[in-house]
Order: sequence, then structure tokens, then C-alpha cells
Amino acid sequence: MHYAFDWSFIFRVLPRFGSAVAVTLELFVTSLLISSTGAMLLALLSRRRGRVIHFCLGTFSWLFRGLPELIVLLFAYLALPRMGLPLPSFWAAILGLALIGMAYEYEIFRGALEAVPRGQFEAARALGMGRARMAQRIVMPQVFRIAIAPYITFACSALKRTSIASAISVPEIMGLSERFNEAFQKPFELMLVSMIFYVALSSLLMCAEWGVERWLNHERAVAPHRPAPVRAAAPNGAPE
Amino acid sequence: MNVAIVFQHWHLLLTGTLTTIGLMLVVGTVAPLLSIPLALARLSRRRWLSWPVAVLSWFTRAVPTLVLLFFAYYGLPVFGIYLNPIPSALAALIFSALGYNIEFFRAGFRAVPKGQYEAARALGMSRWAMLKRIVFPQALRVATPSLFSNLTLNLKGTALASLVSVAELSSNAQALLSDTYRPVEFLVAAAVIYLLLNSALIWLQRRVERHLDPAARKARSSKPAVIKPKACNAATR
Repeated sequence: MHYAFDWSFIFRVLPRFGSAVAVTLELFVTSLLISSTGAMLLALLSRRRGRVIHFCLGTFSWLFRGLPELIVLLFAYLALPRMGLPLPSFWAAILGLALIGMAYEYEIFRGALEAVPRGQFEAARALGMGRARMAQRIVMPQVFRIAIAPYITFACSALKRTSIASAISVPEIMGLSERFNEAFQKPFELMLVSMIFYVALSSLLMCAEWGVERWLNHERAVAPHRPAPVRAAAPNGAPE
Repeated sequence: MNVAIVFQHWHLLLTGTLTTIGLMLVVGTVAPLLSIPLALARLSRRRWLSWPVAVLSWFTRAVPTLVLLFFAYYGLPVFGIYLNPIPSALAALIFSALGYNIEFFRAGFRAVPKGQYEAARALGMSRWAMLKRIVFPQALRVATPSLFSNLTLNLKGTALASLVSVAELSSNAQALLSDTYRPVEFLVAAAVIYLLLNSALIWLQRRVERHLDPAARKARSSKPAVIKPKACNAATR
């Protein structure tokens, strides 16, 4: 069988993917916002002492990092309605992706929080800083620097993970190209189109990753030679 | 919740689990083995060697596994390559694992101090002997944790093969839940099996890391020198 490559089909179908790209981005951004907020709260919670808290946090993280994404999304879409929580497919996908993301981001934030030396907390307290000010001026700027690179790496995998939402019939890039394939029977062209979109979107994130790494390296190289306030202007983190 | 119904269909879940394990083992061995020479090529000073690998690694890390699976399933026949579901899924899963594995080995090779290379050369070792005896064992130790965490990702990735009609665990679970209208039971069953497999991987990782840790091994065994080169031989060839 000879397959006729239909290049014009690609250009005809490309503009129709606008809504699908929007859905992918909505999935990505919404789940990332929810999961980042949740993960930060969980990471702060992990600073507390208490076996029960640590056991619960550990189980949560182990569970959602260990389960296949497909199973989590299918559970949110098919099983939750049976348990009295009917969700439309888009929100089921958001719920699943946010929970998975929260588990990974929790580990990133927890690691970053633990990497801040204890002396920093003690020094801030000795200077009479309140909790909020200590977090804002001392802890968070450091956590941000440690966590930003792994966070962007994670975001890249989270973007790719949104493609699994097509399995619960969310019309994002992958879902739309599957539907088009059923209609037009042009698998090669359609997969090429979705590849183009995913490569473009994840390349943006990979460039951000690269840029952040350069910025951090630069900062590490420069920081000791300069007075603190110059750099500190951005994150507002100069010690008083 | 009706647990009995899960046990009624245990054979389908078992065959699915075995397929899942098989997929994971093939991906988890072939992808690292392929990526060792590719990582060396990536580190090569010759541009015509390192650039194609850099592009390959970037591409496989930028495209979702699901897209690659669909491409292998629907797209390869376009080139006249007709594969059964399982080989085509394997090809896609290996390809998608390749990029990360290349980066892990690259990081591992770069973590070996320069002095080790120079010392090996000063001892008159050939490039191959240096690689096999000096560089690779050290690089492997650095890369092992990431390789194992990637193995977990591979395990989770095999679940996606259910979407291109491979009869593995999650596909059988989906078939069962649509037959019986019991999504909660079968999804929980699949989840439990995946978590068990995952825990087995974590256990294996601890064992392997302890095995590769020179300090722990010296304490344990009296003949370390014999064990290592053999293990290396097997891994590089």
C-alpha cells in the first residue's frame, strides 16, 4: 500500500487546532496553579513535627508519584461519579493532574525548604523578625532559588502529561488529533501536527529551564563579589 | 464496593500484570543499553556525532509518550512498517525513555573526575579498557538513582500502551470495568498492583545502590575486584 502524504492537509488542519492548544494550556496552567499552591502548603505542613502528619504526607506523595497517570485520570472520571462526585471530563482531568503534580512539587518544595540552613531561621528570629517577614525576606527567596530549576523541569513533564487527558475525552491537542484521525484517516499528518505543537510548547519551557540555569550560575558567580542590595532588588531579600 | 468481583476475574488481571512487567523490563533494559553509546556520542568533541544525539534527546524529551505511541501505532504503517501492537508500543516507549536516559548517563560520565581519565591514560590503558574499568563503573554509580526513578516512569508509561490496544494491566482493567460496570473496584485493583510493582522497584533500587556503593561492599565482601568487571562486561556489551 502506498500512502499519499497530504501536506496541504496539515496546513488546512493547523488553524483548527487553536481551541485544542487553548485547552491544553488551560489544563496545564490551572492544574499547575492548584498543585503549586497545595504543594507549598503541604511542604510548610511537613515542617511541623508529628508522626501522623508525616505519615499522611509521605503516603500521599508515594501514592500519586507511583500510580500511572492514566489510572488516576480514569479514577477521577469513571469511579468518582460512582462515589457521589460527578465531574465533567475537563475538571476530572484537572483534579487528577493537580493531585499528581502536587505530589511531585511537594517533594521539590520540601527539599528546598530543608536545604535552607537552620541558622538562617534562627538568625532571622534573633533579629526579631515575625513569621511572615522571615518567610518573605529570608526563607522564600532562598527556597525560590533552589526550587526553580527542578520546578521548571517538572513543569515540562506536566505539560506532556496533559496529553493523557485525551483518554478521558478532553478535546486537547492529542484528543482533537485522535478525533480528526477518526474522521479523516490521516494518522501520519495528524500526529505530525500534534508533535509540532508539543515540541513548540515544551521547547519554550526547556528554554526557560536553560535561561534559569544560566541566571543561577551567573548569580552564584557574581554574588560574593557584590554588595547584597544590588541583587536583592528583585526578590526584596536584603537582610536588614 | 464488591471485592469478590475482582477475585473472580483474577486471571485477566494476572495476565495483564505479566504483560506490564514484561513491557517494563524490556524498556528498562533496552533504553539504558542504547543510551550508553549515545551518551558517549553526545559527549564527543566531534560535532557530527554530538549534534544529532542532542537533537534526538531534545525531541524525545519534548514529545509526550502518548504521541509517540500513537505515531508508532498509526504512523509507522505509513512507511511500510507493520508492527503488532506490542512491538510498536515497545518501540515508542523505548524511544521516549531514550532522551532522559541519555541525559542521565551524560551526567554520570561528566561526574567522573578528569584526573581519573588522565590517570588511566598514564597507566597505558586503551580507550576501551579505560571506559570499561575506570569510567563506566563510576558513571553508573552516579546515574543509578536517576535510572531507577526513570524505571518508575517507564512502569507508569506502560499504562499508556493500553490506549494503542496492548492488553496490559490497565487495558484489562478497563475492559473489565466496562464489562461489569464496576469502575471503582477494578481501578483500585489496578492501582494496588501498580503500587506493588512500584514498591518492588524501590526495594530493588536500594539493593542495587548498596551493591554499587564501594564502602558498603568493602565491608561486606573479601573479593570485590572480581565481581565488578564482570558486572560491567555484562552491562556494556
